[in-house]
Amino acid sequence: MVTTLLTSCTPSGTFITMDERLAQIVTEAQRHAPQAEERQLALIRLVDEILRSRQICRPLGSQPLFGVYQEIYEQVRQQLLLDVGEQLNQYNPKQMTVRAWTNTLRNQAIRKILDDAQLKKLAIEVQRHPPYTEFRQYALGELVEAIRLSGRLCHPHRGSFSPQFYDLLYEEAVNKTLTYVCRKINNYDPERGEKKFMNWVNFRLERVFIESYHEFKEPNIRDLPSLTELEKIVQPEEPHSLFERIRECIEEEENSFRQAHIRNRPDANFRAIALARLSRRSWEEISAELRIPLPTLSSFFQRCCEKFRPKFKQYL
Amino acid sequence: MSANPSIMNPEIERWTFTIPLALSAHSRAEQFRRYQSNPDKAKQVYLNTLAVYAVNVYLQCRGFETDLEKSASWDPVMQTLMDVADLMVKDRGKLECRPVLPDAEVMYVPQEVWDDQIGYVAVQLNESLREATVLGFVDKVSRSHLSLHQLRSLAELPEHINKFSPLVKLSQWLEGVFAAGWQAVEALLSKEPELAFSLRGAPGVRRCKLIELGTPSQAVAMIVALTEESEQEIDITVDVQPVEGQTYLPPNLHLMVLDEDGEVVIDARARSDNRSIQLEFGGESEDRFGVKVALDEVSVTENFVI
Repeated sequence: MVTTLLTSCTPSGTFITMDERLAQIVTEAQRHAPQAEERQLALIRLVDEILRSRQICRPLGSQPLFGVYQEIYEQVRQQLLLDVGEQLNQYNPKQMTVRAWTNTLRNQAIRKILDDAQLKKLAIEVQRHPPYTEFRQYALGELVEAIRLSGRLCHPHRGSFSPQFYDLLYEEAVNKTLTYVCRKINNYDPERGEKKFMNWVNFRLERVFIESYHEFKEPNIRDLPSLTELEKIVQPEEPHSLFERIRECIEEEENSFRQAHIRNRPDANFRAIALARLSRRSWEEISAELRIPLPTLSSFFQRCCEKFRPKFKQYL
Repeated sequence: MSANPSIMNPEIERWTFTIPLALSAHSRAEQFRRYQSNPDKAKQVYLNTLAVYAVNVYLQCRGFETDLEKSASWDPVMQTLMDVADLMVKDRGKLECRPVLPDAEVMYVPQEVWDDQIGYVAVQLNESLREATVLGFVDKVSRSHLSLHQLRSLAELPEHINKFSPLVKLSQWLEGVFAAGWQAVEALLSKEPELAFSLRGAPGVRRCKLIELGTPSQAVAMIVALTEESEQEIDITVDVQPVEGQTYLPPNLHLMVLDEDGEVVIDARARSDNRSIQLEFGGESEDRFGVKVALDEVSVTENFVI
């Protein structure tokens, strides 16, 4: 996850991180007695700070929150005030970072508020706007995050697979389900599925889960490479690899690759440049050698590649 | 101190979109990786594929259609010739999806992909490669290394893509094929809109699109009607009407027809009591024109080809 960087300036003018600010407000709130008015004020400050990192009920542009988004925001805020108030004194910075603690509380509050009725309202809100409009896209974004945060996605066939493989299948199915929901939201009928929105979603999730299982059961993929592992993979040199065939194709081709050249520079043709690039020569080198500005070269090359795509398809 | 919950907390953290990279992402990346025996190239192709996958999911979650087959990033030959990670957004253009490593502070955009993109999206991958976070984007690059701080918020990307309006192919209308957003007039306006007399009862085709000018309350309906005058010639009528719930057009609404080069050829403005503005003109097959609706600073242009 992206770590948040410097964002705020304290009255004394020094910069602190978001996490430090959060920690400060927690400490401040903990100092006061539960009944004190200062505590309530500090709690409000804390809750507002926590909500700055929320994934739903975000304002659209510079507009204030409206409709169902405002409704959910206010409910979440109230819930969070209650929950934080109750748990504030139990928080121990040695057990958990302040960010982890507040995120947990935030997500718990959201889960409590996002029942099926709210999700359904969010879905209906999407349907109200035509595709490719800002409002529709905003509403889709909110719906996707709400589904994810609600905790109401089912977990089909959980016992049937090893935990590792299950996670992979499940994540795959969720991704596919979310894109399906967004593409087909106009098909959602609020009157069906016992009038529950998540029934429509979960019905799809179960089906897609099984499809994904069939797609990926052979070979039995268990381990996906990490970045470090990726760097260690050694691929044996293949005779007549794609790379070789491309190079041959460019070398031996009769006309087009040679004839495509930069204006007034028949020597700066696609064939020559492509072969140079395949030989791992840098743009700087090629530019210096041909005495043509780098952007002109790379731009020309990019356009030629696109233009010759069908030709390559034909030959290879 | 006011405890009014409706007062929005003005500051909010930047929006990013995180998704898991599971079976299909990795299996496709692996499939492409196998074409490359050079280890650097192999890794590049693998990571580029993951980045494109992530943006693809994101775009579909905003209702955009994508075309992976048309994208160079999904073509092993193109992958070999260039460090490319483009994603074709149907009817709009290409987005270049650049992978960003866990600790990186810059987005690297190689020279050979600087042109013809509608934007460049930064996708951060985590160490385990099981998670991708779409961080933000820029619309242009002029250097190959861009600091992540310079990225625009991801929240602005859909609007940015929306600006690249697909060319509306009017010849397809005569075959009953309509692009998304162009609906039957009845779908958008329940009361029979006032149309130029010449169109009533005449054979032809008409469709309607909602044009948002800043806020939903400042939306208007654009109705475009075609009648075939002859094999080559088409008569076109453009109507702008208020939407459901409103009687008049916003005052000072400006409707223009632009030629191929963007020059204004017809110009009309709404007065305060206007219920509609209509413009009529003719064109031939292959002619291109634009219809621009403007209200103060905001404008939307729809581009057409006959």
